[in-house]
Amino acid sequence: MDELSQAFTALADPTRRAIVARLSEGPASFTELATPFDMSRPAVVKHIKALEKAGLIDRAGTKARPVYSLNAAPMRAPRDWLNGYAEFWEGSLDRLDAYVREIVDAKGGKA
Amino acid sequence: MKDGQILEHPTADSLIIKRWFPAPPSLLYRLWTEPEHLARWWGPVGLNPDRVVTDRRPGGAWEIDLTGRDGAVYRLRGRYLELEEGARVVSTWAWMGADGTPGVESRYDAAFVAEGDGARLTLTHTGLPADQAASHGQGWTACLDSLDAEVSATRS
Repeated sequence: MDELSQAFTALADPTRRAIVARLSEGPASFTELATPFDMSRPAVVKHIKALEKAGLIDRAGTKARPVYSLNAAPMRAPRDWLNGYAEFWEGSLDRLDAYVREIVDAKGGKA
Repeated sequence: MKDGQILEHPTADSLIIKRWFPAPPSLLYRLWTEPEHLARWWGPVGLNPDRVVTDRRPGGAWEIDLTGRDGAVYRLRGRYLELEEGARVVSTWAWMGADGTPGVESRYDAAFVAEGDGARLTLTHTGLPADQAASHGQGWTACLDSLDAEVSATRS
């Protein structure tokens, strides 16, 4: 799966989005990330691992005391983001072109 | 790139497409604003405009719901900022999240100018979710808002 799709999939969960939102304010420890959620520790660990796997967050510090931070790289998908819109428009304009030609042909060659 | 189509990214958050069509500006304007026509071309292949409503006056709202192949519905909403009959459409643009709140609002400007046996479209879309890799905080919030809306849309 391409990077952006992985990021999308990882963020298709409100808990993970909340974790990323928190990290957008700065690095945090596991406890700081886990505290706002009413869920078990292993559940939070699972979410954090999913975000790490998608490359959205980095882990530093020690194994006992990890510090998580946001990894900007996957979001550096400007081409993907812009291409999303470019693709939308290019696809639409292709269809507009076909539709225009349909109309013109129906009118006997002149719009 | 299609014949005669030019696509540029003048800034990190905008794009410009220029493309010629074998139709006069007046026809392009109608195809761009009337629901029965929009339903025939709006959206790339794979996204079907199942519902199109337009209130064609400055400040008027438009709504287009697009259905993907998997049945997911993507709701697009906008407000006409400028309407120049036969010549230009300037509008806001926002994807709706599953919770009914709009995502990041951008803006497009579609101008139709006679050229040869047809007309050239110049489409400028600005305020797009941009590359915010250089900074955290505000940039991330903007990215997340957009992603949130997009992801929510895929789940609706």
